[in-house]
Amino acid sequence: MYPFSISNGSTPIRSYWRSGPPCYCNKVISLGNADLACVIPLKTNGAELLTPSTSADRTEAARRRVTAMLAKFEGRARTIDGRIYFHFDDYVRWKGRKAQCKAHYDGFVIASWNDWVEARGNGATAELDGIRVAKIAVRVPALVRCADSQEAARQQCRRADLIIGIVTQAYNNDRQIARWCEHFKKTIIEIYRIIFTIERIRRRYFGDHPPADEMERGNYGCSD
Amino acid sequence: MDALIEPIEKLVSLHNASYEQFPIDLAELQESVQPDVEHLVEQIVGSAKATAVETTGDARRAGSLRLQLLDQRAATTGPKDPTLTKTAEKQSSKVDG
Repeated sequence: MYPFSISNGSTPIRSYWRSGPPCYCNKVISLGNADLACVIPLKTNGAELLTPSTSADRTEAARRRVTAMLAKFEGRARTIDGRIYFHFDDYVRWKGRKAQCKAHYDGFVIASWNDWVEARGNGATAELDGIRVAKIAVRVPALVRCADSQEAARQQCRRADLIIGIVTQAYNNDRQIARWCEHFKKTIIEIYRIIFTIERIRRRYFGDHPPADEMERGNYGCSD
Repeated sequence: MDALIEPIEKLVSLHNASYEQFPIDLAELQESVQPDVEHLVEQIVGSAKATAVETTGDARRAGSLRLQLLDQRAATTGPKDPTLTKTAEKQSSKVDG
């Protein structure tokens, strides 16, 4: 369990407790202890960024909106170190949740897999049905497990700084957005290049033969 | 192939909806890739052929095929990579040596 917060910029700061990746509200992205609120209407083209230089009125208005929105939450909540934390599952089930993104994905729990490898193997690797398997490293920084609330707070601050840095750079900065678009285009071109290459090779060598998976499903009467 | 392209189109349409001032024309991107792809296919298939020939023990022919590939690449993209050329030449002259 590690906490991260949806901040309204002043006490009480409300947070989730959870073990998965962070979610964002449609209207407000939490910046934790940074005492800032980042208001991003994700479904529109514009974005409103509140920084220390934003007028007190606008910041206060954003805080009020967040407080009012979060006050409607009816799930489990508890106070940890003076902050109110929401139960993550309750939050996800909350119909009033602004962030309607998919919150749960199919898969397995990495910690559980690693525990299994640890228990069945010689520490770093184990054998599963004749195949050597290893522990899985968590690559997503948001999933770093914190040892205690102090470490969680430190991580929160660091993350908040990063978000502020990125958003500040990009906000209303057409040149930066244009640069991102160029990167995006280059990536798409690379993907197209791979897709077209695969298709050309497939046509040249396999023509209209059915793909292997179709045959494996028995649709083409493949027999031994 | 359509199944592969569909998610890209969805992603780009999302992008275009969000950044109207920076629209991406997919047709234009696809066209820019087409001529390159033919060359890439030749390179991949040629390289696979050279590797297959190499496994039969005919290092000289494999090296010769690789040199041909390098020539083709140089003709379309620029000067040869000296490291690759050396390897192919070495391989090509192995039997002579």
